[in-house]
Amino acid sequence: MTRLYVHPLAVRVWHWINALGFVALIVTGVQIRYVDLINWMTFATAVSVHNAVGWVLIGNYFVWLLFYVFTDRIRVYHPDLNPARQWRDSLRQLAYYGYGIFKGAANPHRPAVLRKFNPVQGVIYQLVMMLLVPLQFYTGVLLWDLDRFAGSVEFFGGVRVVANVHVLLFVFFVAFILVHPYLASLGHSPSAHFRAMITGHEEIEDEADAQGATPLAASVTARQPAGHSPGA
Amino acid sequence: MKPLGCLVNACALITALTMGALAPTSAAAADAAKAGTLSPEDAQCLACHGEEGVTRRFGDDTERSMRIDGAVFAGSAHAPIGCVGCHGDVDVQKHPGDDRAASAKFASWRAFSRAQARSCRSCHEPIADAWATSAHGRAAIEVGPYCSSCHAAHGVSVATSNTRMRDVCLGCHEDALGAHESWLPNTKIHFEAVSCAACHSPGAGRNIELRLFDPVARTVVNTPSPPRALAQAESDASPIDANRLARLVKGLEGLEGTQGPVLRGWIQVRSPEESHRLLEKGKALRDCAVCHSTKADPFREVTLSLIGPDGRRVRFEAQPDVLHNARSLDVLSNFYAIGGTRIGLLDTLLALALLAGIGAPVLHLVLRRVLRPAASASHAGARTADSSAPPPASGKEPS
Repeated sequence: MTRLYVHPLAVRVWHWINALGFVALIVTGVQIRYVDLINWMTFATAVSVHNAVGWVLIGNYFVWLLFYVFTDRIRVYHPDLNPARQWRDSLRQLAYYGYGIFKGAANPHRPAVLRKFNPVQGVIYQLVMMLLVPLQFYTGVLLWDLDRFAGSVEFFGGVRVVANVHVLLFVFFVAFILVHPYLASLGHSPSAHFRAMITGHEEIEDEADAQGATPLAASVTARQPAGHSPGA
Repeated sequence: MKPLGCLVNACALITALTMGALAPTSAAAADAAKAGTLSPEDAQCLACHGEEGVTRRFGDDTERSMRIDGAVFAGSAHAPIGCVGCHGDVDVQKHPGDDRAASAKFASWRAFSRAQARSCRSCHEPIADAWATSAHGRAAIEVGPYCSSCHAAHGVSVATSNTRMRDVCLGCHEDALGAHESWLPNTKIHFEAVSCAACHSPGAGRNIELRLFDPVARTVVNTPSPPRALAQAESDASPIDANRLARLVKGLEGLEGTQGPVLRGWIQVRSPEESHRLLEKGKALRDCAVCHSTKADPFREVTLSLIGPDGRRVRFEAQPDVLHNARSLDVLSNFYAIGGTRIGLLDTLLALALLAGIGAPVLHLVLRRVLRPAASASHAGARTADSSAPPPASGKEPS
């Protein structure tokens, strides 16, 4: 095993605050939206907690943003500038999760310090962090004080549009928060990625340790000539 | 003195107008109001009461103006019943009498207002009785308001602005906005969309009236609706559904003095009696869940309210589904009550997200558990068979 320091402290702090905050926002959001079906807390409490946590996460978002903007770590989010290769690697990664993993294939992505995300992850996370999360915060702030931001609300198309965009993104984040921990359990051991997000160090299997795993391409396609790496 | 029958008709008219009855009033009464003319008897009263300087002295040595603006009265909902409709006790032979007699009759302006309130009750009895049991009614002898305190008796008009009565409330309860801001999120928006009585008459039934709203000016549009839109609304007696509502609002485009009118819901108390049964602020509704739920009663009764050519509101029943239909995103863009008007389509999407978010990992995990041992065994066998062959390349990509 090789230990790589892939999650700096700022990222780990941001991640766990964000994780707990999103769970809190989802729980209170469900309570706010379905007060006729659920009675975990009062509507007023849910709104107060939702607003407070929302502000904390907005601040936390800037921790993430400033850290990445002012360090070279931003490169972890950069997609492959070769679209053909990005596309091919993404398909390979999806094929691994959808098929190869069941056949005991090795994960085609091998993390590195500045390449900790697999090709699909990188694209999705960039979309989430640069578009969906800011949009969720923006619509949340508008809903927090509709009178103060009346101009923006009107520009957005009215309170009904703002609220429903907020809910639509909430639907996405509900699915995300459920699938994310499962995908995080698909490391070399179920707890490997969780430990890494606490210690900062990702354990990377050595080449020799991975020998037992079948190359994904060999599982998915016809066997390659001996010595031909599927990643080559 | 007008014949009794006429007086009864007039009282019925006032009751109908004030209670917000959906049916149009009698043609004769409507014509009279529309013409805005006054009877010779009323003109005779106004010959004095229309002038500046007409005052009355009370027992507490205060003096109040008794001037009535004839033009305002002619346009009011009370014009058809004339002066004697409410002031039938005035003996014309002895009127005005001397100052001393007048001041002896009423000890104060409040005593005079109290006496006049009895006149209101003769037509508006159910409302007056409800008021008598309210916080206002119970406090009326000391400080509370009488009818005329909130309703300008000589300028009563058909309710055309959803904020008019709210402004009347705020005229006395000046600190209400600040008091609500301490606990009510989006207070100003609540004040724009919820009548005071909706919370301060906690036992009342509530409904929603969709009114035309100018999103730029942030005011209710009180100009008569284009005939095309009214004709569309009247074309079908069945409750208006989301598609018809969208078509109808399209017919309102170009409405004078507005920039792209949209509909906004106004949550109000269903009956005028209940809207007068206001309780002390400590007894007002503070439980948000009462309204922020699809099961809340305001969201089960929806009417569309347009202004007719005569300036009166015309109401059409709408299906409650218009509040929850994705089709209404545009026409109801300025009305959204969290929980209460949620769109069903998004609820379905959330259910699918939950199903996928839980189902996909569980299915994936099961497949891994079921297929992985078989695959491992198969690979182990293959490795044993190929042990003489060169080792395969690693499946991992180089970093």
